[in-house]
Amino acid sequence: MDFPFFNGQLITYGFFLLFATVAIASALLVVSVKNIMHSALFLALFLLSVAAMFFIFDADFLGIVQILLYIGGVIVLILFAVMLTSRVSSQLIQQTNEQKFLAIIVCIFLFGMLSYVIFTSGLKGFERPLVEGGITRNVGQLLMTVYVLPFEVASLVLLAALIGAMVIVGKKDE
Amino acid sequence: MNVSYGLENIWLWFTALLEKLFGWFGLPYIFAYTIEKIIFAAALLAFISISVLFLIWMERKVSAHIQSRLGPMHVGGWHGWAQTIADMVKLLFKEDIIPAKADKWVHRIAPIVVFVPSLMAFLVIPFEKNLIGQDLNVGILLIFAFSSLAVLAIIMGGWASNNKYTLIGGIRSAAQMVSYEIPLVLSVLSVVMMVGSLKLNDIVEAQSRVWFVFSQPLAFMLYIIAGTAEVNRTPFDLPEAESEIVSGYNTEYSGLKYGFFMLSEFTNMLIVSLVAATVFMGGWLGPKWLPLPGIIWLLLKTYLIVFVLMWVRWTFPRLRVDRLMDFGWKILIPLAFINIFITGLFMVIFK
Repeated sequence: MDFPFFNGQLITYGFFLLFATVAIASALLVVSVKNIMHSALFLALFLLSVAAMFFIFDADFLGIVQILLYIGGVIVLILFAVMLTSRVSSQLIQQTNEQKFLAIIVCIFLFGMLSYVIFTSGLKGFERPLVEGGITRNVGQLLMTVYVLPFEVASLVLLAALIGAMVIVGKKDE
Repeated sequence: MNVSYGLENIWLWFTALLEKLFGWFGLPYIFAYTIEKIIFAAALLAFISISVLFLIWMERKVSAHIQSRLGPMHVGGWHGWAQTIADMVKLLFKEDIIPAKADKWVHRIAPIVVFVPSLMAFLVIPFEKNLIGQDLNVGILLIFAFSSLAVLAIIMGGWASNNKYTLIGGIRSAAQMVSYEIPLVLSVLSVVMMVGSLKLNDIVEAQSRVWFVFSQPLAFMLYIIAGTAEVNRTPFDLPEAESEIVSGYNTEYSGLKYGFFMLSEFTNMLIVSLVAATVFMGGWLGPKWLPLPGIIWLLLKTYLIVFVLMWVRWTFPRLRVDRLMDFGWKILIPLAFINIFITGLFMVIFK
């Protein structure tokens, strides 16, 4: 007996649809809820579902880095900043979106542009395995050989930002 | 290697049986696979629950003996072994209070968000070579990634309770966990460099000659210190310093929700110890002349580290906030980088 609805690929697509829906819904909620703390938490949910999509497409290293850096780092820093500014973090303060319509128009244009690029680029559907021998080894090798210059430039930029932050923090008040 | 005596044989036999059974009924492999994973997850959950009950009892007994007391002695008969079961039952029946001015949904979700990531970390820990949820290529990174999610839940709980002590506890915890995550990951990185793989089974098998605790002693020290800070235990328990901020981020929690925070705290301690035993002390590997199942070796090593963590907790006083930050950024992180540099140097010289 054959079960065409229960092969691996269909389950992959099912999970992809699930996480894509969660990602889009939470992304919309990030910009529409009134409480800034809730926005940050929905942003965490959005990043988590993007990480789940990376996992579905065998890019496990990207998914892990997404969780480790974006949720464990960036979101925590955002929450930290929000909590320290008591005027914003108070649950009574509501935020407003005054440029709602402009934002919607920009988003529609961006969506159209991206879909145009994706549909004309000739990308084929998803096929397993995406990369031979796992993504981690390949990412490491490429970063150390072909893309070593962009990699070093990026690390230099980060170092400059780090030193800049220290200079700003270390400035003595009169 | 003493693989043939392991618990994994029973598991492999069981999964083969299940797959054959599903094959007879003409059902596709994916069904058998799903059911296997569900059973494994249920077994893990049972293992975690029982371990946590035991850990709480052990914590109380160890602390009592360090302080020249006896600790719980009556419930259950032998040395009060049933005390934590009684405490858990009591916790279940307690009233669940949400503060009137709390953010209700965030307050409700926080205990779930704190527990799920610590459950996820068990997915990649090899109890024996084949007794593992999923041997992912990124195994060790996955554990750190999900343990970094716990801080999100602590912030959520601290903020949603709408209480200044919980807020301070949440902020402290965020600062501390973000700072100590860096030396934690960097210390394991030197081991990963020597193994050349992030898979936990590869890391275990690379230790068949010598454990990494002997070839990477500095990394092991850094890992234990940063790990203690990561699970918020004394001397790094500032997020819940009783003498300063009541009980920190979980002050406003009661009943089962408080139980979840406590559960995840002890689960995280178990994870830190399990990872230390796996990465630095040979995991399920045991001496060849004593053929015991690998899981027994792993648990023996794990509980040795758990005991050390408890010993430290009840021996040292709490650090001050600024010293905690100084220690993390100015001592641990430079040491971790020096260790990576030395490891790389040795690997190039003795290639």
